[in-house]
Amino acid sequence: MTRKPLSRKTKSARRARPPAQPLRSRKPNDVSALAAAGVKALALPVEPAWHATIVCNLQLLLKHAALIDGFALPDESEPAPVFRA
Amino acid sequence: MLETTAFDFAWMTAGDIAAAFASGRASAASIVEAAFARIRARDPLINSFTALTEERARLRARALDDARARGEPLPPLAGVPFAVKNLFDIAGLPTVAGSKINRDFPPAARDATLIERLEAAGAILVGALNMGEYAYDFTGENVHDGPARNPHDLARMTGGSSSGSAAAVAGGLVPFALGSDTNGSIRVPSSLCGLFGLKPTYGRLSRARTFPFSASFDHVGPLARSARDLAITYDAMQGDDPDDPVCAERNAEAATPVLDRGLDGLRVAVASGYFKCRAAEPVYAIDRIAAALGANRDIEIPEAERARSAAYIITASEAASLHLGRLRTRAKDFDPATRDRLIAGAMLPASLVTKAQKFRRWYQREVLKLFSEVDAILAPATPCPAPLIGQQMFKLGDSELPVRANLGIYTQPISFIGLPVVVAPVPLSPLPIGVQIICAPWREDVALRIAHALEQQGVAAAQRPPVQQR
Repeated sequence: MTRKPLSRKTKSARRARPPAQPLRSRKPNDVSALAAAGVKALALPVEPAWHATIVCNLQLLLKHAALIDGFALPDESEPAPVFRA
Repeated sequence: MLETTAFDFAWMTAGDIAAAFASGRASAASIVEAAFARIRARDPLINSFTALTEERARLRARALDDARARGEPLPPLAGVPFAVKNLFDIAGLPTVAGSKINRDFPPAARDATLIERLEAAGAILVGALNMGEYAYDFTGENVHDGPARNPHDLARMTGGSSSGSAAAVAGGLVPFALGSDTNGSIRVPSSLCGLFGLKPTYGRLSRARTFPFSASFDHVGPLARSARDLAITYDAMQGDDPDDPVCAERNAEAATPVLDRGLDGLRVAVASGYFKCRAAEPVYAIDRIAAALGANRDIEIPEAERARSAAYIITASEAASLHLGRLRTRAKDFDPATRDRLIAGAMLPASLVTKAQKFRRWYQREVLKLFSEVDAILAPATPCPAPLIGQQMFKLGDSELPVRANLGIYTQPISFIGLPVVVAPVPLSPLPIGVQIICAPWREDVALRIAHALEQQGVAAAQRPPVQQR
């Protein structure tokens, strides 16, 4: 089935500034070091056998995070959750 | 009074069961006994229930039978059995949330708000349902309770994390069930098990006394075998609730009275770009539904891929925060697949999570503009029909992707900003698949109206699965 595209253009944030230094994909060793340090800092009882999977998951999360980090937003942007007093 | 065997309640809708009870053709006691008989006979195959509430269900049924005998007015769901994902508090039971750890919790003191509201509407709770551990799951597999099995093919996944909810309804054990949806956990199992599912607007239905997952995105809602049952149950659950700080202070807006209005004047478009799926089944399902609705326009949801990424990291971070204490004290009692993702989530820098929440605001503003041009947007619910239990990878176009992380690729960018969605099941052979009908905030009525119209046309249907044996 052929459908007609709706003609609309999405404006990116008009007053956005590019992020100062976008997150680059890290080397596996960097992520491994981050995971090892994080586990210590947070006092998590991680067994050595779990480390590789944690690193793998962290790498995936950082890949997703890089997409967000690379998106320019104005300094005045409000985060979504709003506390109502 | 007719005997239980006079009706096959298994495949009746909630509305039909309530009508049979109200008219005196069936007693609540007989309906409930038939439900427990079906569960005992069929659930060993599909593994959807983790607890039964037989005593309270029988008491409730007797009270309803007595009320009817006294000629009292009957509420809309009187006599209808239902069950809930085991993250809903049920008084007297620990709220396990699919985990081993929570089995040590004390029994809940009070039912979740939505159970109270459904019982006030006459429905009868018959038990708690299997789910992915702590709802961090799209597959329906659970190392502690075993996988719920897809009634359309017992070797296949139900999808998750509301796995037992989908299996119990698709398997004819109850006419409707409650699930939760943070990133797709109602919509993915609805698609894989061929059911109608409603993820309402964020803040529409109370989450009070349910075990959380990621507070920014947690929703609750029903799964059923007809759009009308979704509407009836949804209407019974609406309303403000001070026990859930996210629940909107908003009057109930009943969807059932407008269900039969049809498609008149509704503008429907198909999501393009990121949502343009290259797999045969979702494409067929979308085309079929688009043709039935006369949806001949495409519309681009901007930055959907980024939205999915932002949902991914906010979820990981909030879930890690929720479970940090348990990760310290009982790490070995988690499913390793859940544990290792939670630990990774704990390492995410807060600066990136905050940026994701800022992006969420920007994305919401852009997406809401689309609803000045259309009333509903169609998108696939899942990128494929039900994979095999244990399957690690699936093909999407030319790519091979991990099943666990990617069954929700089309649902995550939508729940990210809390839009209401009804999944309409398209009956395909051998396995069904669902389509998301996405609407503007607070317009569940439009999504339900469209799903009901598709059902009336025979395009969407919750097909009865073949009888299966393991």
